[in-house]
Amino acid sequence: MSMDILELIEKHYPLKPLHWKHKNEVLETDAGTKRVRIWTDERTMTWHFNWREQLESNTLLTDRMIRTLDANWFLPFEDHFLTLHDERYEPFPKHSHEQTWGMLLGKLLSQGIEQPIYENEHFSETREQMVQQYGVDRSDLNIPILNRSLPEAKRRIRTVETIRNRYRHLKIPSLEPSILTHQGKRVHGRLFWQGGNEPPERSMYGLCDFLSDWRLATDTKSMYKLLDAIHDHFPLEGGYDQLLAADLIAPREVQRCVRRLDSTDDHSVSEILDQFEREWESNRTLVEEVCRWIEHRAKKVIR
Amino acid sequence: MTERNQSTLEFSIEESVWLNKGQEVEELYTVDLNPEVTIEEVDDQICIKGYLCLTGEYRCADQTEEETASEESTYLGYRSFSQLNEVSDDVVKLDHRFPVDITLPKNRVLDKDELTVTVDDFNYEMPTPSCIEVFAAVSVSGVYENQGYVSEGFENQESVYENDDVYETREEDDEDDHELYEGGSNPFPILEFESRRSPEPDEHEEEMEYKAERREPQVEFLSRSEERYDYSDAYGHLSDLRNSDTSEYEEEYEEEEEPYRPDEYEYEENDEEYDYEEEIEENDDHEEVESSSHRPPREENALYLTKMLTREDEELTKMKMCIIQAGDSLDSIAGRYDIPASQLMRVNRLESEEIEEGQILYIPVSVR
Repeated sequence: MSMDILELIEKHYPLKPLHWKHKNEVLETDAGTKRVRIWTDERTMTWHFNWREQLESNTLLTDRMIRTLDANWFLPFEDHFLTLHDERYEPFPKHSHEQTWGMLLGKLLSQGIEQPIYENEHFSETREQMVQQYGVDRSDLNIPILNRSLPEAKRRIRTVETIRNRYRHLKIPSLEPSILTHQGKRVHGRLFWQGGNEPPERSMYGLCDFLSDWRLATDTKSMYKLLDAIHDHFPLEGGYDQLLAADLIAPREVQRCVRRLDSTDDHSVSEILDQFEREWESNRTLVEEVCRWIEHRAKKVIR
Repeated sequence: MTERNQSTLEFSIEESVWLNKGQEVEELYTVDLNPEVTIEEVDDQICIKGYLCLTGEYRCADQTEEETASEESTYLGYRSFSQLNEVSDDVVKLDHRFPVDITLPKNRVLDKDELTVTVDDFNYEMPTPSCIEVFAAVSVSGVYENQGYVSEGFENQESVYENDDVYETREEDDEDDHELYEGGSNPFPILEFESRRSPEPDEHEEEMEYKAERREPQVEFLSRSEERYDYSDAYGHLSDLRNSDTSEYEEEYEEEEEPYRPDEYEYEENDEEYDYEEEIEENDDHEEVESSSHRPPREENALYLTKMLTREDEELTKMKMCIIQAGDSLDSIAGRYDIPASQLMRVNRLESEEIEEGQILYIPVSVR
């Protein structure tokens, strides 16, 4: 299979593959390191193509689909599709570059609202669905530390529901489910953003993950600058800040914990629970800080 | 003895357990009803004493839900792990005891070790998160039919919530039990109820003693605390008592009117209720009106008992029920319990002095 891919790339792309760096994923070529992505779903591939194209600018680069010799941006590959992307490794700095990062995230949010998606544009989950989705109904696991958190997790879901109901009129951006800082690389001094290939989701969870990641890598002040910068390109006030807070408040660490518990043996239960507690606390701090930023912005607007 | 037929005493219990605010049930995990009784021989009686224990576990309703919902508009965030209550705070133990006090003549029991108290049927409903309605059939087996007397008792005591999270059942005062059979010679079949509802232990007591009948030893008590009733209803009766020749009632009931909170006492059983105003008028007229004529049907006595039992502010309600045996007369019962026959008629709303075998009479007990 791998041989087939290399031959296919050599045949259709204006470059010469040398060897796999990571088999079937990353390869070295005479034009630099490239990443191969295989898409099973054409709509997902198209969504990813569109945002990459739209974000690309003089100040912001993306890992766009490399065009074939025929100027196509994908190749049919067996029953799927193949695309080729530049791959870079030098991370883009965070400190003092909040504006650039903020621009990237703001644009991701903006195009996430505009880009058509095959799902409802608004949140449609009921509280009961959320309770189930996040595993907040899993008192059957009979783990005290988890059970202890479930009532609070339910309260968090109620908060999420309340906020979503309040801003039901807003379109929810579609984002990749996971956006992390390590996806930003530096190419000729510019931010080069390497996206993923997961189906998009109508939520701001991706941004939540990014903020969490950012805060761990930097500090609160830097995160506030980043939020200010995002706001410059995608106005968060007027509801999106609240929706961001709601998505942060959603008990996703409970969901992760339950999933891990469901798929593990007893030996690692204590580790899973330790991790759960750490994530709970870490996310709580993040919520507090983001909410402080929201309040601060609100005061500035009033003045 | 051995040729006698073994019979079973059966009691239907319909009780309600009210939970304090903050202890409402969100999810009932387990609930069970079990008898915990001891059987003793006292003189010529067999005493079965103890409790029907309603036990279980439930998850407390999240009373902060509404508060949280209202706070959500301004507060975004959630509690730290260290701020979360222990899970035990969320899972509340249910421990409610219905006192049982059954007394049988020894000649109805071949061997006290044969006596067993069982809960034959148990069901519950939760009309509201703060109320558990308990329906149970309790039977005492090992009892033999004979020509003698049977006395039965069921003592009903409600638990008291001394504080927010602990149920405590108040100790019962059983000293009155024995007076039912003073001298050990009283062969009357007795059913005894006692219901205490107020957290204040030393306040005024209210006791009612009823004499009752014996038919087939099957008695059904309805003491539904959840039935909301008009306080004035119950006290309509009490106004009867005020005019009676037992001055102690006057004092008791006057005292008890103080904690009356109209919103808590709305009795809704239309069939059974009668007009307080009407009663007052009757009482204002003439005392003899009380003891005569237009009394509601006898079933109301039971309702009256129910009301007396279910008043939440009631300190102590003690009742004796006497099951009339062949050859008994109202006068003989009155003499036996040292109570005017007219009072028995009033309390039992009898239209005449005629009583029949198997009939239940309620006998007010003097407060001590």
